[in-house]
Amino acid sequence: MRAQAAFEALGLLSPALVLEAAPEHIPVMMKRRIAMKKKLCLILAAALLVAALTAIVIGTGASASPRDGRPISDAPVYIPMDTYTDIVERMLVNIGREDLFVVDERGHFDGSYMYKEYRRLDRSGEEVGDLFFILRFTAFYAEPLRLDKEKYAEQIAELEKLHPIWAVTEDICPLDISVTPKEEEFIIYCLMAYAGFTQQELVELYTELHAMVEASDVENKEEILATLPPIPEAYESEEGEEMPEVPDMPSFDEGAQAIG
Amino acid sequence: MEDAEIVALYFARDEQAIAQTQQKYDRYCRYIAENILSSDEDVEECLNDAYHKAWNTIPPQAPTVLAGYMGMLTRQIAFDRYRENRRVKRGGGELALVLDELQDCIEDRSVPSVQETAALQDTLNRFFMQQPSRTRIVFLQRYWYGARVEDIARSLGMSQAGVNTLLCRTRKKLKKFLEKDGIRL
Repeated sequence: MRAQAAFEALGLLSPALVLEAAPEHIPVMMKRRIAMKKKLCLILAAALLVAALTAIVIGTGASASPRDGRPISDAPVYIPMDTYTDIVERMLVNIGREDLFVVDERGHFDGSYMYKEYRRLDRSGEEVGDLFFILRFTAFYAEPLRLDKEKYAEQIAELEKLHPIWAVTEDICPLDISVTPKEEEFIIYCLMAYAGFTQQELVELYTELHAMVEASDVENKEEILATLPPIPEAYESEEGEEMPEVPDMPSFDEGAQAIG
Repeated sequence: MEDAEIVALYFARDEQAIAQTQQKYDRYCRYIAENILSSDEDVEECLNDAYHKAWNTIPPQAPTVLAGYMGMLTRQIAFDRYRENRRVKRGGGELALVLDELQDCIEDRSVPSVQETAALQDTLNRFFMQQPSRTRIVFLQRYWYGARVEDIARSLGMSQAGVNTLLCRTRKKLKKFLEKDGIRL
């Protein structure tokens, strides 16, 4: 009876968690057997392709800062969350912050779940017993998710004050459709510093990214290639150019105190 | 067809709702039912019951994620049928193994109150949200969907031993977590 009770109890889990493990995801997860760099490459290629195309279509160029009203695509690219979770979890392990955990946005499709988490953090960080770490790229989905964007922006601003690493993930996120070369450089830096990617891995990753675009059938291929980040080896040759500093992580207690 | 459109068909009492649900989610629901029930006949009946129950419960229910709702209905109906079958004849199958593994994870259960159910729901959700994505997927693949360990291992590129170890650790962690929250079922 105990086992049956346990099996039944699991039926109470939120649909978001259940669907995360749904069989539809199996084909995606099977791709995990491909090396991480290849997986990332696929994502970066898709995202940057969209970014480049969007920039060309809407004519905004690639200079806008993500925090200065980034344009939101009418056709968001839904990239499997697991991939980002992998990246972030790897990053957290590498910086020795295994005490953090990732709250993904999979459960936020009704536009209320995210606020529940925020409120929990706002009221009292200790209530959840851990630091919340929410992927910034959910901002990209604010519109399709019918979230209150103004309120969301305020909450993001508050969280950014508390958790600088929040900003780091934003820059890591290849979904950012307004990535500038400088920001791209920062992405590379973060991938190395936080996620432990080696220079060689990055070179392979970006080389493959370029090759994928080269091999694609898209129109304006040259224009798109021009918007892609250069292969990281180029960065090595630029001596004397300083990479952005790694932000310090606040402790959870500091974060909780700041929340009041 | 989008979920919202299908749900609107249910609300309009248009029988196309069932056809559309079937077209979109039959594979998903069948996967759940097949992992719990061993007989093809039982699976078919379970799926028919699930569609029938969806028809009878929407409205008033208005699920925003129809896959989640159909999955939940299918799992519950399949499990009820499994228990019914067990009363007649004790059988094996994958679910018997799944239940054996879960044996020590949770205490014996009397009928819980609404508050107890809500507390359990909250605790379970909190627990799994704190787990790494891969842990959640492996655990739920096994204990929500009833998937075979070798299939999970193959789909995730893990060894079977790795899956078993992860399941064992997570069961222990879940048990501690429930105890810490004073959950008594």
